[in-house]
Amino acid sequence: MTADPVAHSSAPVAARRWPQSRAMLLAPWHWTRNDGGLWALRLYGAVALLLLGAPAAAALWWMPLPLAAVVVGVAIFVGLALVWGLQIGVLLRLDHPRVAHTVPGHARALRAVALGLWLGLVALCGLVSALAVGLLGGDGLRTGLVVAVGAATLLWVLALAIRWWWLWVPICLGFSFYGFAAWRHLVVASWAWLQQQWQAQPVLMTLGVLLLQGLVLPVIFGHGDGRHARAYASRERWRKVTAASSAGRMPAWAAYGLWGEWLGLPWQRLANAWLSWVCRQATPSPRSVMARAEVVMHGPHHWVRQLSTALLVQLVVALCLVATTWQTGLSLRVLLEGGHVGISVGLASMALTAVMTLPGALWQSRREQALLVLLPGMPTGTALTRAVAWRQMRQCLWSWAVLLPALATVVWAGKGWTTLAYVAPALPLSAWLWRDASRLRESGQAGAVVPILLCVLAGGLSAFLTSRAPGALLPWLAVMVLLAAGLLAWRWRRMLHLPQALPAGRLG
Amino acid sequence: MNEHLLAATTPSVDLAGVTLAYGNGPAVLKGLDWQLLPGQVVGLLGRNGAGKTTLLEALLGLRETQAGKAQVFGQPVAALDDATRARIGYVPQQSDLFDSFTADQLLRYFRSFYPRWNQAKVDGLMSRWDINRHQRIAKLSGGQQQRLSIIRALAHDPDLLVLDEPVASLDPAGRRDFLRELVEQVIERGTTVVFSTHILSDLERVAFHMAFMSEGRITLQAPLDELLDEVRLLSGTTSEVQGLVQRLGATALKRKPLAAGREQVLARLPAGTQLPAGADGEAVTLEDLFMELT
Amino acid sequence: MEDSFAFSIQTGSAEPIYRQLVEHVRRRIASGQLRAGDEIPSVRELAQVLAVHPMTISKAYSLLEAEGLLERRRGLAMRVAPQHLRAQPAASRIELLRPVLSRAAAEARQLQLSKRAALKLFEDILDEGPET
Repeated sequence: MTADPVAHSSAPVAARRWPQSRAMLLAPWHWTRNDGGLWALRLYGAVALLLLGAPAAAALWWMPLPLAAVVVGVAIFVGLALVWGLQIGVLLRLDHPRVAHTVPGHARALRAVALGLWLGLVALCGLVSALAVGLLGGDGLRTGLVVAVGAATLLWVLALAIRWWWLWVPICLGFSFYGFAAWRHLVVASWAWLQQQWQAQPVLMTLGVLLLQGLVLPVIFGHGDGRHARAYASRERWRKVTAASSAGRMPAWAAYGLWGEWLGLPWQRLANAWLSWVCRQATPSPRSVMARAEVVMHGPHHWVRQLSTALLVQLVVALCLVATTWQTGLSLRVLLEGGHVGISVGLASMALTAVMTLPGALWQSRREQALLVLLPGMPTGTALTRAVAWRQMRQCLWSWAVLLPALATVVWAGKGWTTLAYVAPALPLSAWLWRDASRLRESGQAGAVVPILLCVLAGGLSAFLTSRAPGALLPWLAVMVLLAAGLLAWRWRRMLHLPQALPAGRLG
Repeated sequence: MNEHLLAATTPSVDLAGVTLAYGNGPAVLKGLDWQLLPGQVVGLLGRNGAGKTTLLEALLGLRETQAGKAQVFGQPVAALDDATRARIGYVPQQSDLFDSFTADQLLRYFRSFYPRWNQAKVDGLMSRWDINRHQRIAKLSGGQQQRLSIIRALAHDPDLLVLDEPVASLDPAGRRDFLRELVEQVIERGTTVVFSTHILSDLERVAFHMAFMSEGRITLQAPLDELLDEVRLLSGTTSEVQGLVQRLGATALKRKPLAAGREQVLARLPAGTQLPAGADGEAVTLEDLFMELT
Repeated sequence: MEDSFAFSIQTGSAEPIYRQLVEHVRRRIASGQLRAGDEIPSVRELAQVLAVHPMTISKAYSLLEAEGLLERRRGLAMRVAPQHLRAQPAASRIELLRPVLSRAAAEARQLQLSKRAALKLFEDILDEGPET
């Protein structure tokens, strides 16, 4: 993927630079295309366009021109910042320690591309704003310089924060502590001083700031030494883990590194305890055999882990609610009514964790399943398909059972009917759990977005409809239940004609 | 010991006309016939991508075949009963399975399924091969993982052992150790062993029969001793060589035409016959056979 | 296993392992390193030490028994047959050298060397004495 300088070694230096830089700049596009996710890119692009374009268009329609211009400008800048962030991410991925060490000119090229892009974006923002303000009759030059400095600083901070994730902590803390007088005073005072300096010599100050930032920016790339290698390794690990979890393949806590292992210890202990209990109580009955097989089949998504997490989350939320009522004096009812949207989404996603994660878990453990299928006592053929299906549905039902108390509490609080309506479509969606496991395929990152979007839309639609016609809630719930029952019965009967479920994905 | 090794009437493994293709692609196994008699130790030889792993998976019922029948101990592989499955041991190519378990947990897990479990053998092998019981499998080295995989397959004293490149990650000492273990199994229990590997020296020692796989079929299966004794590489003009083959009643395994009307034939002479003096025939090694027959 | 039976297998050769074992035992007996009554390792023992299929060992032993070099006793280990009380006379020992010399002669013919040159080389090598 990195441009090969050797191939162009006969060409003059300047001519070599452009193909190299172009390859680096176009890398995100190429990589997404190679991963087969072009339609995903179009989807994300459309969503981004909508989220940015709608407010801009609205502003142009409803607000006076200067204000609208500002809104449009901000929308454009956010878009540019997204592109900049994406590009920085890709450049960091290209910054492999071995390549930096052995390929001549590669490290320099990366830095040149980053700086060039940054300066280009800054210049673009400055020029466009200067022109716009000039056309509208204001001081174009000054505005241009202000915007240039502002854009440069924001993009620069973004690049540094992408490289060193812990920088977000002081940034967020800085914002949240604004309430404290001492901090606010300091910020205001330094800001006033900076403004003073800048008013005196705008051009010089702009250039000075740009120079300083430009000197620091290339530091995000490494030099091919041991420290670079370690930093790259940990970046890759994080990237793989986030990629896997967004595709629904939740890796074990241990994949997050040493501190991940430490955090995941309670769940690991629980899983170990269950494993030894189930091995001690082993009998040749199908129930005992499937209970043991389930431990391997579902791996990190085993019901012990999922249910304990669900219970923990509910406990934490309950404690937060109690703490908030105690601190602010608002009643629980008011809090629940106020946060009912978030709670609805949370409950619906809890209801659907099994549906979202278990097929992926079967795919992940498909090679272990080859050994499981050879164990004496395991059912075969349709009996196995049904046994696996029943085990998975049990896990789904338990997730529902665990969230019923929370649901009941929200209903009691008053706005519960909307929540119920939001959660209701999760019932028939649960029938989607019973797929043909032997034809499972690896779900890409983009492939996992669609079902989530579907659930969000279904829930939202359901809540919207019932809020328009409150009397229809109970019949609507009944319809959902019947639909779920019908789908489940149909899929259960279909299992007679499907190939054996395990090993998963062998016919895909 | 010889009682184990006498050919019995029911084959341990019986494949007839097995055809397997992935999805809509070309067939990987094309009408493959194969039989293994109890107590045989067979080395499965084939090039990379020839379908050895697919064959072993089809043999165990892990993949559906489009045609043909596959039986293990007289039962169709799609529905093996518990008693038969308790007699099968399988070492798959990937050794890093169950990586969230510790070695101890893995062995206890498998022990809970099998009616017969040789704990003494497991303990002996674990200590001899120096595997840390309480270490997670993900943290073990590749060689340790492979050794553990082998122990897991041997622990329930199987009558049929299917090994798919079981020693790829082991150093020569480890491989020798493993072969000794295999020999012990064969002596003690008359286990039928199918062994797929690229390390020909290992196969020469421990496998008595060789099965050569090429183009989706088993093209030749014979004891290695016989092959080394009987197969010769004959060279000469086409008519000379053809005449020689006919006179000796030999079977031509592979023909390669050379320049100027000459030909090279890999021929298997009938048992006990010698090449006449003056005939240009070379003896072959297992590597030569591999290159020609797969 | 006694040192007198030291045997290492040559894999990757055109000679099957059982034949190598037969040749090895034959040479040992002929040179007197294995005497009449000496016990040789059992099939099982040898198979385990060498990591070789027991049927290979068994085949070699059967051949040696058929030749009269080994004798089988019920319930006890096989041992060298009693008629070979001392080393064979040179006349029969020299026959053991024939296969190696035939191969050398074939190569000399291929290289188109004269008989005298080849024999001179063989003499020189013998004069050099045993390699360390």
